[in-house]
Amino acid sequence: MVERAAPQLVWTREENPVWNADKQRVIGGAPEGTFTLSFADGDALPGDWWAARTSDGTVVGFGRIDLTWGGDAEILLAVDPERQGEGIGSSILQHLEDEVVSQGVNYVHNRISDHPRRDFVHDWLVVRGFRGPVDSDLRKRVGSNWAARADSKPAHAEEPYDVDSDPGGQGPGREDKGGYVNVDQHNY
Amino acid sequence: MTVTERTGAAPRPTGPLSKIDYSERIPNNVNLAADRRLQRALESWQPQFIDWWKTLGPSLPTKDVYLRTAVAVGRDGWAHFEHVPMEEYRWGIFLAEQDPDRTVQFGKHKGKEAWQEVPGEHRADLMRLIVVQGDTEPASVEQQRVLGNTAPSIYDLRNLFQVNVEEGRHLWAMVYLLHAYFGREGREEAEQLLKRNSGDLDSPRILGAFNEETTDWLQFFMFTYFTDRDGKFQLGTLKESAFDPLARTCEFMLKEEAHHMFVGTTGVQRTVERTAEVMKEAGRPATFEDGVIPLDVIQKYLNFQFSVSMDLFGSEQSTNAGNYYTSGLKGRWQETRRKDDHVLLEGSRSMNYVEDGQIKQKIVPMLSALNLDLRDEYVADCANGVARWNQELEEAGLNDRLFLPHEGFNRKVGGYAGHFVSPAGEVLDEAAYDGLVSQWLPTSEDREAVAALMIPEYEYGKFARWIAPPKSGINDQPVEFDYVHLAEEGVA
Repeated sequence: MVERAAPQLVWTREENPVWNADKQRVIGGAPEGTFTLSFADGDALPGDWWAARTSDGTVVGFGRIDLTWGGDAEILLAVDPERQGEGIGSSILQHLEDEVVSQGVNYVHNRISDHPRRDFVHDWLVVRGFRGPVDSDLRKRVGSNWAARADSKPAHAEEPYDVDSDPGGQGPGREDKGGYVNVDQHNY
Repeated sequence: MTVTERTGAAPRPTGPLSKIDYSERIPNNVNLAADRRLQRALESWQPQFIDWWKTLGPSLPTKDVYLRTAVAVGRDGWAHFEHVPMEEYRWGIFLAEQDPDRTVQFGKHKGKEAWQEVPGEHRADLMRLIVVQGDTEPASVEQQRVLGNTAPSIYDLRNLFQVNVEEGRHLWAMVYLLHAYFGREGREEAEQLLKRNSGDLDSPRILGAFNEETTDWLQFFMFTYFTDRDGKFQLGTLKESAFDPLARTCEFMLKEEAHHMFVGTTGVQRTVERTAEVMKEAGRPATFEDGVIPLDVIQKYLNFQFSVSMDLFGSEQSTNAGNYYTSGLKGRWQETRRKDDHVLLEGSRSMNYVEDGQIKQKIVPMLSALNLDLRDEYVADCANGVARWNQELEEAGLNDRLFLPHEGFNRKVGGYAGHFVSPAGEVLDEAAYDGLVSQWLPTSEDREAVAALMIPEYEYGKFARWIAPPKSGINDQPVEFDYVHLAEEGVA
């Protein structure tokens, strides 16, 4: 399956999560065995929940983190069965990983052993950095996008010295004016 | 002077004893010699552990340290004290006595025989619980690696090293379970426990809080008081596990853990005592210029360590915590003393949450709120130490008091995450909170000023100015006892 570019989603924390019609449609619409969440309408839900909405307010997915002692963080993500293959799952996963990092946890796990399409889901998760056997925990290091960070400008990076705005200045690279040496900004 | 005269007699054992076999390469009371395959697997892990200890264990060079080593696992008297080079400490595998009649005390298996093997359906969950527990044990050793360089006394240095070697042993305890009961996957997880390192960018410890270096001794004392206590409560729940080897392992770990919390309780108490002395003499609040840690900075450290330790318990409500309980993997604190059905399918409790800028309460199923249940027990226990510290202030005739901040203060995890709650429990907006937070949490200036006081004192019986001496020494030894012999390069 080829995913299209993910739509812009509005990610909202549910302060007081309950089972409702949106959850029934999105989560309850999954094939049997995908999730084991047997709740009635209005039931309070354990764990931390977020809803993913499109710009018109339609809920297209949910994410949940279940965090127990010591940073044992399990994630659950569900996408509206009618909207799968649009990149929504990837977007929810990224949001969940960001949330876990903000809670000071460095790994997440997921279990898919009872999922009716577990091989497909296993591949989907492995492509996104999870490691582990299909019949046990799949785990991922989160918040470790070091390669991407190395490419981006560090927070303390110096702005290039604007020689024209300081004609008599002694900025970096202006050895001729008594300025200090900055190899990257050296002016000849 | 003989070793016995100098080191004192070992505590007299009075309970049932299961002797630990020290003739083996890996000391143990699990008859490891009878399982050659397991023994070989652990013996191949042992050099990796020693390498880890040498690389990431205490950095201060020492000749030997007066350490407690377990010699038996009976109810009382179980340890032996002697000077040993730390890298020769006998880390081993010690499980509490087995009760052949033990039954599961809670959940859907209540009343059935405790498990001596891992049931297939619970294998992944049990292994994860053990890995998470195992990850925290060596993490604190790594975090405290350089602390010996600024020890306020030889007495305190010895206590630091005792905590460190026992955290290392707790790692052994978890590694034993992984090797003995979880096959190849367990062995791989055991390897990972040494490959993940505190502060390693690619492979850090599981929790962010365990990836930051412990920079000063007040932080260390707060850590052993609040964060090790956190571990104590987790061990207390695993001690109830239907999986008997895990339960017995954790029961014995709890015995060792008590000393760690003693280090924290008395460490903070002695810090407060010294500050209170200065305040009493000067008739004003103490400052860093007095050579002690001001009381408001002690409160900030307390606020920080308490709040990050609260986050360790996870979200207030958790499906997994409920499943662990129902499955018999993890009980509640003092499970057998609880006066309910120990199944909890019908029970409920109240829980705080934030809505419309106010802290409100709602009723939630008990089974889903077991993280919160454990956290509440922990908070009650934390309050005892604070009362003890306040005793020092009271005895000095001061009106100032330390206090535990509100459960919602400085929280990143659970229902309070994303809200701005003051230590007094007032819900603020972000701007108001940001304007006040430097009064509540240690600033970098506070930490630098505390660090500036951390000048090592290695003369026997002497103490840094910012901390009072203890009332008594370790194992009936005098306070000025030569608890640690530094290597020459450590003295320089």
